[in-house]
Amino acid sequence: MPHPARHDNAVKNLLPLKPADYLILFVLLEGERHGYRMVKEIEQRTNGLVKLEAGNLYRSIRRLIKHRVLEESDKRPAPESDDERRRYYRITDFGRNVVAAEAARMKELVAAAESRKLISDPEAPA
Amino acid sequence: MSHSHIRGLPFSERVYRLLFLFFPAEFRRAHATDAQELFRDRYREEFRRRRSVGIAVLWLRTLRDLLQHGFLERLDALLSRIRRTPVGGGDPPDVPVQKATIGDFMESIASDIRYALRTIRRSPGVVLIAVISLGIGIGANAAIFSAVDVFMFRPLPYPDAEQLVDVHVRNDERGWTQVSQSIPDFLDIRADSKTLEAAGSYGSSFNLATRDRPERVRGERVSWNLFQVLRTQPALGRSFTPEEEQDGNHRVAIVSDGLWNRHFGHSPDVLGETLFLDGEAYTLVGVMPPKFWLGQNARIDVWVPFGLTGEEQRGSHFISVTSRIRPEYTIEEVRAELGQIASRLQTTYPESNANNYFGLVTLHEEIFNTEFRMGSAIASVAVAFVLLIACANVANLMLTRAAGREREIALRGALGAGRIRIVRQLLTESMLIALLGGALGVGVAVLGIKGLVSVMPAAFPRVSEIALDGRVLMYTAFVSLFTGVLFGIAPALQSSRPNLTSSLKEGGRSGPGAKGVRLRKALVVAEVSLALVLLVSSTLLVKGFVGLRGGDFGFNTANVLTMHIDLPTSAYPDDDAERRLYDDLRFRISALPGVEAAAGTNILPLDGGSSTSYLIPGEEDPGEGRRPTVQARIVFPGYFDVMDIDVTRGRAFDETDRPDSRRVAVINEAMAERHWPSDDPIGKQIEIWDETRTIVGVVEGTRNFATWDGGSQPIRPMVFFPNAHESRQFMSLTIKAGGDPTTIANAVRSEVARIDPNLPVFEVRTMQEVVDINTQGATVMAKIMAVLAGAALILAIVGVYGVMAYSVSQRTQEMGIRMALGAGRRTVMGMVVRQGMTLALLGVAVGVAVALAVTRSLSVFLYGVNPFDPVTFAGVSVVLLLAGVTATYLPARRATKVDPLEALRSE
Repeated sequence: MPHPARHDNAVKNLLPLKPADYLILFVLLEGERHGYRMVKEIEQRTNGLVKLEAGNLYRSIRRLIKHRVLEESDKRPAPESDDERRRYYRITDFGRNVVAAEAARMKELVAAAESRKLISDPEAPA
Repeated sequence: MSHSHIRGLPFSERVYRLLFLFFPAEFRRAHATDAQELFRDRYREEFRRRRSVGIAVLWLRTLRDLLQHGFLERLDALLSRIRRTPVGGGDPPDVPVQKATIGDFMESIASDIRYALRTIRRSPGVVLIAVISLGIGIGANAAIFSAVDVFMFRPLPYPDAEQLVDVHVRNDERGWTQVSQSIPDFLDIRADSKTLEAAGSYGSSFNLATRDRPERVRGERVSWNLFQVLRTQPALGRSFTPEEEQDGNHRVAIVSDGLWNRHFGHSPDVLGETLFLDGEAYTLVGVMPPKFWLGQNARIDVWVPFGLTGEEQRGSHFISVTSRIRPEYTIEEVRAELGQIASRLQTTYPESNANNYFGLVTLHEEIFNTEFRMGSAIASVAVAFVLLIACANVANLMLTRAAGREREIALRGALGAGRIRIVRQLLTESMLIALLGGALGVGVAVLGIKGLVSVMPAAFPRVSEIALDGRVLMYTAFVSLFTGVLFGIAPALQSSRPNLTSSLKEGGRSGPGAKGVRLRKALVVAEVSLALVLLVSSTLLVKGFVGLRGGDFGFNTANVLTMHIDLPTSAYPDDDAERRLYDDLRFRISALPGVEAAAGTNILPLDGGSSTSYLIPGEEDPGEGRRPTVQARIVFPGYFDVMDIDVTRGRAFDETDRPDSRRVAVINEAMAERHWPSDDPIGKQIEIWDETRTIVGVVEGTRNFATWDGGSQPIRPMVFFPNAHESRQFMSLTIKAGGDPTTIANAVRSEVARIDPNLPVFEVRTMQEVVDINTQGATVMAKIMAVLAGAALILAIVGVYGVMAYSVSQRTQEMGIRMALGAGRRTVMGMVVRQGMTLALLGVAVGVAVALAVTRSLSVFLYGVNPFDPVTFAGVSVVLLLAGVTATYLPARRATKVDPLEALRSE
């Protein structure tokens, strides 16, 4: 268990996340995924705006693993449900903190934009 | 899940695996498999959604992805190795530092590109020449690749096509390398082989009866299982059943999509319709899918079962055996088994099968034979030469530009830019130029592919598939990037190593050191030599091609009209009936106005072969299966006259050769040479086709094969028989016209219709057309090579010009001094021209040496032209030297215009 202060520091060191890294982590919040599925879900979530190619994806994954925000899953789905060769990845607890911190950071940015009336706050009365 | 149905996937995966080498080994070990898997998924998805467009886009994205991230990953690895510190290893290590570095790096790349764009804008002329040179080189490569890809790299359009092989007969004693199978041997192979699923087929044209007039269609008689073996079923209806292979049950037919459209307008209710083929009623049971084809001829319209009677001869070799290797066996096991079957057949049927073995080639090799393979290889090498010449040109231009910027580069170095940084800057520029060249190349490729397809005969298999598709685009992108490095690296390395102090010193002479000049001259020499190799090769090919057109075949190609006729058995049941018709045709066509003489033969020259074994009485019989073979032809009287083949001894056939007269034969000089080199063959006998025949005449030799293995061989031995003694249902009429043979075609056709309105006349061609069709491989090659050589010559002239012009501009000062000291214009001009000539001469010398080594490989297309033809070598050398002088002349003139005062002041 890392020291809490150092842990905080570690999270901050990773911010801001690259958009692609954020999306990868975000998709993994919903469960373990293999590469192609991540790419597809990211594509859907961004309405086709972000389409990761393999080199980019695996470089990101590698970096994220190095920073311990995600890890390779050792369990594989039942062989008949999917291709056994594929590797699955899952987000670590540390990774969840990083995503949360990034989301909070972005929320501040959004709030700032709203206060300048750049975009409307959906919860504010019209 | 099999992915072989997705076009291009296996190839793309191979390329992807190769390109993944951009990543460091460590990364590859960890992620290569997954990345490939992902690529495959994306490929399938894009293919399903948008076909080639999707694939093209995917490849562009993938290329960028691999280049960019492979490079960055390698850089990361390098940086972390440099920066590796023994202390700490804190929780997430190195994060802030690394992010900053990558960010810097991206920023610096962007600034490189901005900078490159700025410098390109500063000298648009030089860049334009570079882009055009590259556009020609890259475009030509893309165009040739589009064809080579279709012919050589794509799997045949059948499921699991790599399992398909062609099984043929080999007999070393008889000199058979790849001979057709007999039906009984095929049936034995099919029944006995555990490793193969064997199917057979042979071409057979039919008179297809429609409402009012007969149409001639190309068809094939096939074993019942051919479509099963190909794993391709009719799109409509069914394929054949085993029972339908037997005579009596065989009147069922499967037709092509094209015929279905022409005759039935794609009506879905055609199954069960009756087709009349050669007057017999066949039931239509199936329609093949639109693009189905098998074998070298892409236009088969009807398939019907063999109709086996049990009377088939083991000695008659005329069917192709297409087989599928069962997946559980290897090709060695297949060969071993075929060896056993062959030796059993040798023992059981010694009279027909002695020394017969079975050989295997892949179906792909069988269809895209040596001629295609050699042609593809030669064109690929030639077009690569063109690109290399273009690269040498551009490298020279880049050197020139870099030389002009030497002070700037030195300054950047002095201000702290590392050498790698400067090399990268220069490479970024060459990459940009290469990409512009690639973009232009796509345009050139569009035109090139159009031209390429237009010179290819439509009967070539898969020509319709040659197009600018995702694979060609991908190839073009790859070639462009590769080119950028190729022409960029040498100049970049060269000019990033300037002598700092001398370049920056006030008044330091701008210009590269001795080394730069040497590199530049070496490039020109290389360029000239490559151009010479290409010019010599293409001149030889064109010479071979002209020789073919010129008609040195030993027969008349100028004014002969030919047409095929095929007598239906129902109307002409026996030899007598056939002969009466042939005599009728001969006499009545001869009497037409504009016709000088009419005759016929069963096989037109160049149109095929019929190798027959024979025996000379009195010579020792080596036994069946070992007897010598000869090309046998059946001809009408008057044939030698129509074809202008001289009778050198004895007589030709005439009206005295009647069905009941003595059996006679005419041989050619090659045959006479073989058996009676010092004797008169007239009156000698020959035993052939079960009869002993007396030789009554000798004719001069003719070429009978234009295919790659025959053209350069000596004229083969031949023997001719009169049609009075051997009759065939299928004959080709040969009609000699007073003038242009096409003018008599209609008159002849209507005369044939008056004699028998139901007799279809087909393949009406002039003899020249017959020659053209059978020499089309050489024709295509000659045209392609001529265009490539032209491009090479122009690029080489531009190259020599560029270097000489630069050299003169660099020596302005020196010229000025020389002229100030009293050197005349002629002296100065002579000096420049001599310098240019030296380079051209060196280039020519190197080129001749290389050409001597490579032209031998062209021989299959040369048709007897000597690959070391001295006239060609000398002529091309002179042309290149003249081109060198021309390219030097303009700069030399400029040198003489130098104003000595001006030149000295510029210092």
